[in-house]
Amino acid sequence: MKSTFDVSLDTVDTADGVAVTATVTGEVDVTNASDLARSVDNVEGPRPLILDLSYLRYLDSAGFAVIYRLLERRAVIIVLSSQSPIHKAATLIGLTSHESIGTAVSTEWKQ
Amino acid sequence: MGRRLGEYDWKTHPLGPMSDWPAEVRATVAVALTSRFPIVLWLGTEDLFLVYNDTYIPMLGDKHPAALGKPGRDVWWDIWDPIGPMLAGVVASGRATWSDDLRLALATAGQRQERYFTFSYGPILASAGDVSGVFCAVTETTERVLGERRLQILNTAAAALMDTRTVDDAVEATIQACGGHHPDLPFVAVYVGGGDDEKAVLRGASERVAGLLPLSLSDLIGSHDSSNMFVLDDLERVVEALPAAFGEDCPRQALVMPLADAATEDVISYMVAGVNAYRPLDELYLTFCRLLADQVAAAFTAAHSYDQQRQRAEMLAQLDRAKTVFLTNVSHEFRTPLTLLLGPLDDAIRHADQPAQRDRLQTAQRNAGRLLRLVNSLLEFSRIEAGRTNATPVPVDIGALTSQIASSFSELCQRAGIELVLDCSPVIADVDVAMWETIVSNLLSNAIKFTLSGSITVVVAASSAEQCRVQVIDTGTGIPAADLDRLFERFYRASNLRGRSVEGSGIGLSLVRSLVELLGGTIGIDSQVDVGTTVSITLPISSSSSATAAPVSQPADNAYVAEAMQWIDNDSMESANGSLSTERSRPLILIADDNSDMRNHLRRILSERWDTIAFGDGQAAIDGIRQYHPDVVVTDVMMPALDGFGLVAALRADPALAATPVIMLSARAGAEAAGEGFASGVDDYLTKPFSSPDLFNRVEARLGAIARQRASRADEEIQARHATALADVTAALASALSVQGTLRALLTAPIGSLGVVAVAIGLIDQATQQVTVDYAGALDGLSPDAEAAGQHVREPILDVILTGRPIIVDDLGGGDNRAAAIFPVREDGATVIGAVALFWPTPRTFRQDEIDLMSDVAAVAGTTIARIRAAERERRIAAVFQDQLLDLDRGSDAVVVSAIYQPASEAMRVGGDWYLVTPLNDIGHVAACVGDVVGHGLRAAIAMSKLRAAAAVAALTASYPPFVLSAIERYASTVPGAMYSTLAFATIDATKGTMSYMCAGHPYPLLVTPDGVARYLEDGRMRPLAAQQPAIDTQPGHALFPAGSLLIMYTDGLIERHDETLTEGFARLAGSAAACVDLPVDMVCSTLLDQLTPAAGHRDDVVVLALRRTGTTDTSFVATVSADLAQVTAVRHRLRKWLADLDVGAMLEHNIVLGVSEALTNAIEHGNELDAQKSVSIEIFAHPAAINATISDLGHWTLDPEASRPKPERGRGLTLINGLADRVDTNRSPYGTNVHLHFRRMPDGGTRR
Repeated sequence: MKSTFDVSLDTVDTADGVAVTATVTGEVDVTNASDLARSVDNVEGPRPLILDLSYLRYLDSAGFAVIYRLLERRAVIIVLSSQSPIHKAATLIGLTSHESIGTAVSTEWKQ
Repeated sequence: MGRRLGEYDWKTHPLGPMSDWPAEVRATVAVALTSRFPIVLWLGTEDLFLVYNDTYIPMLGDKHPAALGKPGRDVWWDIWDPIGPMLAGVVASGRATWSDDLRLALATAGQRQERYFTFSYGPILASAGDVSGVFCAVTETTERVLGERRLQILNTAAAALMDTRTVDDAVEATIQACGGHHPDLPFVAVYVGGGDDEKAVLRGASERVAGLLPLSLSDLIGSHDSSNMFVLDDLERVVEALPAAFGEDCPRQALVMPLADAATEDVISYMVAGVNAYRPLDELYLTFCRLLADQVAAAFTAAHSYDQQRQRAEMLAQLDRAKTVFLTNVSHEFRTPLTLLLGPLDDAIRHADQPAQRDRLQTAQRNAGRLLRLVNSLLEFSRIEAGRTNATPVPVDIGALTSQIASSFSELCQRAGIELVLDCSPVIADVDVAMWETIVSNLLSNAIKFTLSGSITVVVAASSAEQCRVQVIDTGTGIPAADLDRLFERFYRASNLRGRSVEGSGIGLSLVRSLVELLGGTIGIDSQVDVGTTVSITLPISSSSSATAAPVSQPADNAYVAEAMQWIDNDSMESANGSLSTERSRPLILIADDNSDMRNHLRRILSERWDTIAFGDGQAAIDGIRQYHPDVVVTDVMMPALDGFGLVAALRADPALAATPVIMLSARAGAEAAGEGFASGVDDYLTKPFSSPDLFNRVEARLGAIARQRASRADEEIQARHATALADVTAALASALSVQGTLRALLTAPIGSLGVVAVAIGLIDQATQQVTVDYAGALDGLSPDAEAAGQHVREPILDVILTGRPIIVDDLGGGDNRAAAIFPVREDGATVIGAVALFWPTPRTFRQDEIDLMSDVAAVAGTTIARIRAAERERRIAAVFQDQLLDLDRGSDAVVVSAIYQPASEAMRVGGDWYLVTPLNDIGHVAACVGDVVGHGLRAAIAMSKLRAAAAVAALTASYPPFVLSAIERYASTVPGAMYSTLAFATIDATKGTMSYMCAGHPYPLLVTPDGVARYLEDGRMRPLAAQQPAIDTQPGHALFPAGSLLIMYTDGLIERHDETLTEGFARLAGSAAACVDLPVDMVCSTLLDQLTPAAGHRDDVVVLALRRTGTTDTSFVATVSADLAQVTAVRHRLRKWLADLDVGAMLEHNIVLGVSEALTNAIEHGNELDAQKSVSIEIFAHPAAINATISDLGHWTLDPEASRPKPERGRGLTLINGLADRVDTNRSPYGTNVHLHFRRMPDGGTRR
């Protein structure tokens, strides 16, 4: 069995233009974490990409590892609502994230 | 008889029919017939026909019944000569006759017999006054007559024999008493001699047979056995002349009677008695002869013993005379050489200028003088005995004479500390002056000997007008009453040891008495023990009124005084001993002798070579021995206070002194005396006189023997110490389980007093052939320069291992370990496998016995090391086996499995218990098995390995338990060591939730269902494997095995305790197991083991195997998945679904799912390294307040994030696990890792951040 997730894309205005938002739903675990990396990489548009994990139902350490590698490449900015079930795990791991896309844009794209 | 009379044919009889008889006759016949008195009627006047009654018949004997009606002459032809005239007289005269005890020689059965009768013949008067017959009342008196005359002869014989003193007298008396003309003893003869016939010779016989009987008994009796009385029947043939001597009364038989000595019962003679020809030799006759023979025998016995006594008395008298003669002669012979000794000695003393020489000569002179006195006494004595003494009494003032003699003793008494009181009144008596001197000197010398303190009083006074009395009164030890009477006996010596000396010949007082009696006096003695003794002599007062002047010996010449001086000298002994130094370099000889000359003599001989110390009696000697511990004791036998035997006995009874050798000196020569000495416990026995070199050699021999004994004792002590030390070391090494343990044991065991400070053992490593050295104790270079010092120690050890020869180093020349002893260690006494080295801190020289001991210790150490090595090898092999056997297959997704193996607490014994879990080919089927092989060690490991393999193969082939067990059973019977193995086997079908099982002699498996009920599975029993029993026909047990159920299988070690029954063990296990229903299987195993382990640990191996069926229940989530990451997702979905039903809240649910998933991922990735053949187990239990999850794998991973720095992902997973769970525990074992996650549930079931 393999976990599945979906990525829905959108855009958001920023101080210097438009950023792409990718909202992930479903579950990411060790079986499909690499798929997530590939999916994000396949998203066209400027970087960093705003990756909203707030609606993701499950993200395990393998998924976090993918996120970290994306972050290291400055490929993504992470949005994760504190209401998300995975928020605690993210906190434990020390993932830098924004509460919402709005706060992410306002923080990352400061004038 | 009346009938016979009536039937008699009287018609043809001269008397005619009875009816024709005169009425008087008929009346008389009637009277006679009815009488019970013997009556015979002689009827008629001519022929005197016989008519008689019944009681008369015995007199007729064989003449009845023919006698009836026969004429008297025809019937009594044999006695008609005496009675015919009597009858005729009665008929003729009509007057009755009276015959008393008339002897009639009746012919009975052709033999004439002497019989006696008393009877009266009376006329039967017819009416006309004519005599018509004779009436006779008769009674036989034979027995009475014989009895009387035999008794008479017995009396006569007794009287005659009474005063006989010799055998000849007795024989003579016997013949005189019996050999007259007694009818019952026609003749007697006595043969004297022992039981042998040949020697029995005729000593006397009756006059009538004198010269007729053979001289030897054997000629008389021929080949008859003469040991008992017997009848000689052919007397006339043997003694042909007999009839001529006896005429018609000639005896035809003789009785031969052996006469035995009453005391010894030996036959000493024979009596032969002729038998009266007219009397049968009946019992009465025999009794008579026997009585007579007994009397004679008694007389002979008396005569015999009298004879012997007389002879003995005569011999004694002869001996006594001979002794007197001998004493006289010998004494005379002694006097000459003694004179020739004394004269030259006197001269020599006068000319001796060296004090030592003079001293020696004076000793010789003194003792020669003593000998002379003894000889003189003996001579005088024997003269008196022989009656050859002629006293030449002269009238002297006996008071003055006695006083003069007594004063010779005054100096002696002074030195002895005794007061001498003289109270002598002038009395004139006739005495031989020399004799009187002997008498008084003897008495005084005796008094001094037995008076240790007080006084001696000599009193002379007239006791009456005719008599005077001389008394010597002392305050000495006294004489026991029992001895008083015998004091004057020749050679009698009272057993008084309390005097100054026990010397003495025993003739003193006897001589005194003889002399006093020669002088016409008497002597008496009165004594009381511990008070004193008084000797009184009474002499007649002389008729002469004037005394002759009498010269007496000067004190110096008085031999008695000189001798007594020797006893007194004992008192000065202490001063002689005083010079003894306590620090002696020479052996000490202790001398015990009461004679001071002898003491000095011995000291002179012995002090040349040894130190000496001397004592005058046994008691003083014993005290001296206790004080000075001499090396040898030389003792006399006869000593006052305690004699030599007493001394030896006291010595041997004292453990501290018992070993002291004793040489006894005795004047008693002969093997018997020496034997008595040796029996008393002396070591050597020397007879006086002895030569100085002889004594010297004996003492030297004793000292040599002591030295040898000491040496051998020292040797034995070393041997004993050696054995003890070796035993200690052996015991200490017996418990050593390692080389280090061996070292410690060697170092701490007291190896004698060797003072070893360090021990090293070098061993050849079997794999590398390198020598490794282990050590214990203060070994050089333990710090800080280990390398160099190690080399310092190492090299000699290597040398020993190479050469196989020990190295003993007295001084290594430096370092902290200066002396060393290194011995090779051999395996099986052959191959050198290493070396043992012992070290000392200081240089030392090793004695051979030390080296021997160390060599033995090294040998024991070698054995220990070899044993340890062998045990290690076996343990390694067994451990490998066990490891393999304890490998647990967790591959079945039907169950979650955990097992635990706990070796017995004592020793490191691998052994015997095994388990097996194997997934079966059918999906959801798994087999589980626990077994127990008898014994431990490699053999048991091999047996269990084989059984386990067989169980696995059998289970895979046919899972139905009876088939599996049957197969194992068949196989087990071929496996050595498998006999009586036990086994529990279960097959689980998870698809149906059932199980079936069997137990071969094994404890029941335990089933715990999710509701917390524990139940033993008690069906499916069979006997242990290979128990030589018939094949299995048992049905398996069946049980439901729903999801979450727990099956616990174990070996008996878990439940057995020595102090309780198995039932109690089962109950305890069931209780503990029920509480494990919501624990993961690994914790089930460890909890049960914990809770069921006795305080002292398990005595046997323990295996616990726990299986939980996978699946979910309201409270549990159990799964086993293969090590495939895809399983992570599947498990997560199922888990999330289970958690949703629990309604724990979304956040907690997520945390649990993520935490468990992370752990699972970790287990799959890192624990099992993605090996899909391996599996991971998950057990999650929902409690009201918490959710506990356990994830188990077969790998080794860590929860420390820092440790996994190279792989950040893994680190993040661990971070998540640790962060999400409220508590995380990790149990690692060689067989895998168990991670326990503990999540607290919020009371409201709500979320938490």
